[in-house]
Amino acid sequence: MIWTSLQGNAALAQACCAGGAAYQPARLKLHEDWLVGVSFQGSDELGHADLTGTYHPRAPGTGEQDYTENLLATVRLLERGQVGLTVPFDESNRYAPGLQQFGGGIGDLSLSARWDFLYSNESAHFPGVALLGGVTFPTGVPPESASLPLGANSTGLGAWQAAAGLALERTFFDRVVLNATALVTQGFPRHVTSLDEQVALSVNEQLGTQFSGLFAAGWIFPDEAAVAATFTYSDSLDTRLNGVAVPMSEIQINTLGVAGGFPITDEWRLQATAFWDLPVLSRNHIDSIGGSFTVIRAFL
Amino acid sequence: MTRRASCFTLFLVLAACGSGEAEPDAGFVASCMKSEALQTLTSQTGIYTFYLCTAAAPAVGFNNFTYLVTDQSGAPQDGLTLAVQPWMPYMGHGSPGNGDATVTPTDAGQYQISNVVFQMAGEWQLRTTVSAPTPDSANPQFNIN
Repeated sequence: MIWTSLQGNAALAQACCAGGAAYQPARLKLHEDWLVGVSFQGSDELGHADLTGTYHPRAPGTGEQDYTENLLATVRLLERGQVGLTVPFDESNRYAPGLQQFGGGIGDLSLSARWDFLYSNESAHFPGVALLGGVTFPTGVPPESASLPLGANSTGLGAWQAAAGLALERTFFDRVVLNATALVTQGFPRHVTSLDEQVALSVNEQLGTQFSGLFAAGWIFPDEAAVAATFTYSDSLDTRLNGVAVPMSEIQINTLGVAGGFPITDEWRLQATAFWDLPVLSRNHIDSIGGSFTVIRAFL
Repeated sequence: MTRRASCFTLFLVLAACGSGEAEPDAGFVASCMKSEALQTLTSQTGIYTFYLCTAAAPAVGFNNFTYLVTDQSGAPQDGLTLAVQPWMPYMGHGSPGNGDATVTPTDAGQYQISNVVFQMAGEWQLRTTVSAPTPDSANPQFNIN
């Protein structure tokens, strides 16, 4: 969630200020003071990678479709800073032989922040440099607390998360924008108790520190529409239970994406993405294919 | 039979919603034989051996299992108090539907476990706890497809 909040999907970039506009629908451009928006995302499960990295296509009669609607808001602070809020609403449709469930609710809210030390192309010699930070709040329903057996109405991790990162960005010839972003996300411990009192399961669980990198290359058209290709790679340390690492529990994800952005006016813009979790270099992860659509209203 | 269900979450409605119908899968292994066990585990203390049998490969949804529990000499162990908890080790969470899981002792060291829910594909453990007469545990693990 933090990753999404901080970087989002490759997006619109204006020729005049590509560094301030690309890669996050809710990221303010140079001339914008604040914005609000809404995004819709849908994805379909393709299969999963097990703990050894072996890919398993989803079994016949089973599957999952996930949907998210995000309310977005970003405000500028102190000229070079911006703070964003993402309020997600998550729904899932899960099914297995003889069983189908649909559920949802509010997900994990997140706050993100960005400080541009150097805007893209502000220096003739150096790329734009931005410091990123974020916090995710456990406002969703964690899996074991969901009321439906397949957990279709689970909407959150159940733990606080904090993230910090660095983004580099540069536009070449007013048309080509390149971005490289590194992010470290740390989940905090959470207490998990069993629903079955006889098991007396009561543990402190902590997801492993996650290291993520996003690489993007985009093309900006004269009318200030933009397209971009993205690649996101994420790997984590092992999950810890009561302070002890669970062997082979690292989560590895890599995602290929394309995005397009289109400015309607100076205040309104649209963005769409498509993404695919690659079935290679993946571990302990359900791989999906999906897309998103975002509408932004900016205030100058 | 699967009942179609739907739920739509409005942007400004903060309450969670959900619907669906749970239907346990079919059948137990009537008697878990050592030679037919899907997995064989020695308990954490080494007192017991757990033979886990199932009529079908563990899958997303409801599952039934049968344990044969013996001591280290191979003698079936009756009268144990068992409980189970599905657990996804890399995500660090359990399964929400486990409130319906039940353990039914039969005889000759056999214990039928019904309504175990694996809510998604991936690696799952069936955390099994013995609370009496001697506290112990065993954690068979599966890759659920």
